Amino acid sequence: MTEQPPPSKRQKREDYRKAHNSQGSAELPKKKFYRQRAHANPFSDHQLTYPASPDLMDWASYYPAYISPQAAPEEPHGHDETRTKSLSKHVTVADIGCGFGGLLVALAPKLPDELLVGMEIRTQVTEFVQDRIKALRNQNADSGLYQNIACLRANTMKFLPNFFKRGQLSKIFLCFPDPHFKARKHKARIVSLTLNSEYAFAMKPGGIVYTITDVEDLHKWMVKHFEDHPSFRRVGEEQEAEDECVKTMMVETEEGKKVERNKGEKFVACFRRLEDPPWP
Amino acid sequence: MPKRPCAIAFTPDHARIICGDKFGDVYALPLLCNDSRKEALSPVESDDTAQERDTTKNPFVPSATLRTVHTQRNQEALRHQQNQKNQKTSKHAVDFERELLFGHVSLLTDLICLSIPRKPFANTQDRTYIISADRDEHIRVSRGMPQAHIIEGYCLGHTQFVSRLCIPGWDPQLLISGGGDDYLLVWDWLSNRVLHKIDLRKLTIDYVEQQCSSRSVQERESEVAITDVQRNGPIAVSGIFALEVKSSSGDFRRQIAVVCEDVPAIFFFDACKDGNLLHVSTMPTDAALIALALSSDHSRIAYAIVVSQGTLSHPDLAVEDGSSKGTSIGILEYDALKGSWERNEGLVNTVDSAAGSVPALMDGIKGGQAGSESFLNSLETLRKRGRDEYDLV
Repeated sequence: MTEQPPPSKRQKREDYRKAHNSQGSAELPKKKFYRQRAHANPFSDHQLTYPASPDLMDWASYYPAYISPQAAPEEPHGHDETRTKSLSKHVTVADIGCGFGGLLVALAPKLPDELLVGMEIRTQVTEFVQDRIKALRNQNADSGLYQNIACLRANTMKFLPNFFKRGQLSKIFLCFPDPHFKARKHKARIVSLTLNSEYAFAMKPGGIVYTITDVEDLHKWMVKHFEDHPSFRRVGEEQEAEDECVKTMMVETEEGKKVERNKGEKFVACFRRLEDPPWP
Repeated sequence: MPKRPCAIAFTPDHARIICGDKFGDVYALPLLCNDSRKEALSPVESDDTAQERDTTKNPFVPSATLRTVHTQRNQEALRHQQNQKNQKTSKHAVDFERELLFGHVSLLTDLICLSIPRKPFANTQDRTYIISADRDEHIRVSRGMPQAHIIEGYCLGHTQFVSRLCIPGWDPQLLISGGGDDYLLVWDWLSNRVLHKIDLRKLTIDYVEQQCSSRSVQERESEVAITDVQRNGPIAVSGIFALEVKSSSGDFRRQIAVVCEDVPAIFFFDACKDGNLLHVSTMPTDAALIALALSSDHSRIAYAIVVSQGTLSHPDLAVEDGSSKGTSIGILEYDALKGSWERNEGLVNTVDSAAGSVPALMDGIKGGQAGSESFLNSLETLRKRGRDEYDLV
């Protein structure tokens, strides 16, 4: 739950948002108007909206530039079936817990042929990223950059299968996840044996999960859980070093920059999703 | 078990129990416990016990450092922690073998474990599956042990919690699911497709309306058993049972019996070859059912109801000791000639006299109307607040 700011701050926030939205401006949003408590309980119900299934997900509103040209009106009862407009390609990269969007924005020009989505559970932060992307798109209307990224509010621990079909994703990023230090909070960590099965389901074989953290304990935990899961194998150091996405992940996230400033260490681990073994 | 179990099933070879808890984790336990207590638990073990063993050996050292904690206040808290004396928490490690198979991050409501024979031309083993349902509207299809970490698919279509799953014995490729939304869904679960949607809520509302209007004025003036909630409110499916009864012609009639929480009726559907369910009859009961069981040849159904002061009860079922609640049993028998279910009062009397302590079951649950009702009508508590209809994102 967000803390209630004193009325004057809230008023300022609302005024800022209204002004921002009405202009369709190309001005980047300011973080001070989107501050929110860092922790959100992933187990509570949160008034979230999510599609009942991946087929019913309306991606078109997030990637308007990629809406495929309307197919010939073959279906007589097209309106019944809520045919959402389909995109010309599927979302294949997910940044789970994307925070203020640093990684998404940095990866957008580097992965121009893929659609990237950032998923974040905190409302204010999601709005910040959405406004940021809108502003960037307006700024770069000529070159058409940043049309391939979007951010939505979601609880991936519970609802990842509602958004993505089997084997849809080729990359998942887990950058500086909440360490949840206390033993009783370990179940809220974004990586666990049970959640890894869901990540494996959403990823195609050969896809890669990228993780980075500055907390060594969490790094060891993530490595252990992914290595213990039969569907994943750790990517070797040479391959890690070659991968452009690893370099981006290390320097472009807001949290990563904070760690740099405080001269902390960063621990990287990447895991490849293996093929499913045949039935016994 | 680490958390309250909510759903349970046997593996097809009956060697193990698959159990789901309120956190969403699904464990496999051996049916017959080994006597030797195993200290070494399998590597797929849950991590609380591993953590506990660590703390008893090493004192608590915070895993945060001054470089990972950035704000002033947090750094001060960290310094306090580092200076703190070690506090040990003692949790008892479990002493039976259990293996964590997979988990939903949501309360598990039902589990089915089954084997499907492969296509006839393949000379290979049957495939085992585990189908699990949770409070967040998911029905998940996973491979059975030992590959339970592999998810084969999701059957997504419910818009409220899923409370019951049923796989009919005559066609294991069908799955019938019900929960807190209006529909019973019939699935081809191997391909995750909905085959049919049956509007169960409409049936219950129509039935309740019918009951209200058919009662005499006198009875209606006394305390009405059918509440407003039952009249207009949402339903929660508390039981789906597949029945195969022998009809008079000798072949089998396939039916599905459905029970909804707090609704005093059993709904019978005929199961068609394509999976569709056609409502054929509704058996009124004197009160909402709390349990239902089938005889092994499916020719008889026994059900238990709670009879309270407010219920419009059959005069024969008067509550004995003046307490405000008592249980009662009803027995239905399939009449092959008529092709319908009929009450069998004779059997009820035999049962009641034989098991005289049936009303005693309710003594333990007497404390106040509200308390006992929420104990009996627990499925409705699964409903999430603020989600009347699902929204498209």
